Amino acid sequence: MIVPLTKHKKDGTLYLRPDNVEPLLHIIVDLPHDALLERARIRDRKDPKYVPSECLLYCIRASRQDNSDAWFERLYKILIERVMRAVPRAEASGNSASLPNERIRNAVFDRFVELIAKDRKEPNDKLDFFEVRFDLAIKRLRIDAQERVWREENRSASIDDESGSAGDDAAEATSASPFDTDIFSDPLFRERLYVAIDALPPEQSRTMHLLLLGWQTHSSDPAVMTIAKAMGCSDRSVRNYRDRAMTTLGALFNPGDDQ
Amino acid sequence: MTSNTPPLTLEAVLDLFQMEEIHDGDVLARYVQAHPQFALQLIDLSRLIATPDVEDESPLSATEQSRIDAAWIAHKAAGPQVPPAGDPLALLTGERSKTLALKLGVPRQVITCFRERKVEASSVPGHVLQEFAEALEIPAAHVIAAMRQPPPIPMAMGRSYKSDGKPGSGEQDTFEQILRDAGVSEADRARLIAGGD
Repeated sequence: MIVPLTKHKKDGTLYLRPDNVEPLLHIIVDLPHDALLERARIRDRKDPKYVPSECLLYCIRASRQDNSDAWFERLYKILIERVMRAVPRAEASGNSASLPNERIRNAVFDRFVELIAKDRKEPNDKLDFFEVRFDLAIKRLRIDAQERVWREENRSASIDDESGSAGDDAAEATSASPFDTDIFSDPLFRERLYVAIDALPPEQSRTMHLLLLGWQTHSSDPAVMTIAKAMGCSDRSVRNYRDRAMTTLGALFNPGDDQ
Repeated sequence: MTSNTPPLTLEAVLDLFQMEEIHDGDVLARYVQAHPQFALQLIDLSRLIATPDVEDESPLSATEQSRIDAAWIAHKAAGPQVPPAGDPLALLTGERSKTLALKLGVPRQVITCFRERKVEASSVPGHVLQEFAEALEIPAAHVIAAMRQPPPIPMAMGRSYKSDGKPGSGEQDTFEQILRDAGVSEADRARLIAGGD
């Protein structure tokens, strides 16, 4: 019997595990422990025997009382290693963002460890979403962690200003995207771009993301949500964030400017 | 998202946002419009959703390995403890066992199976565990912990196994199988497994 989730959505219905998780659970709960461990160690998501983290978490939650066993220890460690690997490493960016990244990574890991321990002690629904969309749930932990770390680092204070060379106001006001749409429709480029944006300072990464979503920097229509309005800053600041981000990204995607 | 509901917490808003099927610019704008105080967190979550799931493939450092080992030690220590004094399930005899069997609507041999550690704790629905907890006047976590302990020696040896018995000590069946073996009807099994009356 697969234990259902207990958290409710806003419409009152229960959270449901996705189609790639629930049927697989019926299979893996009957696997011998060694076989499950062998499959759990597979990290290549394209491998047909790969077991999603949602399933591993289910096994751990469903056998709360088994964790004195050696196999349970191995299963637990496989899952939390996946959590550790899901958050960018410190040296990935190779710049001043390293230290905060390390702190964010540790904070996400510690929070997950805390949540799973609490769930073991007293079952609750805080981990239910992790059984629905594990990767997204880990990203959610990053939001909490990075907000705290960024605040402590006080990084935004040194960046948020209106100085510098912003582009021409009138010309920029209506631009929807800083990238050629053909390039952006290439999923590989899009992935690389988002990985690079992830390493930018917060205001720049937010600005770039919103531009890529098609948001406007500024609008004469007060009903339209704009980047400046959402971020609580001036149009000029937004353009500065964008320009700085573009400089960094340009250097990454066109090193040496020889293309 | 309606205006006449009490203001939602950041956690509740992000819970709602992450459950959306689509996370495009329009959906984000709708949330930011409705919850401007959480705009930055919503934008950050939206951006992370768009960011591909990149897994770090490099070998773990010694420090990272230590963090994992330390997490396990903490996790192990966080578990519900078996009460040190005696075996709580040993109390599932006589009137207490009879009353509990009646309350659950099962033959008494099902209760005996719990006492003799023949039931997999993880297969027992929460509401059934709660009935045991109330009958024994201990937290449900202690019931589960006790079920995971090896069967007490007098119990393991004291009850003879008949035709359908399983002589291998320490073997456990699922709750559903125990019910089936005890001749509980399909309807009653469904009621017990599904979670209440």
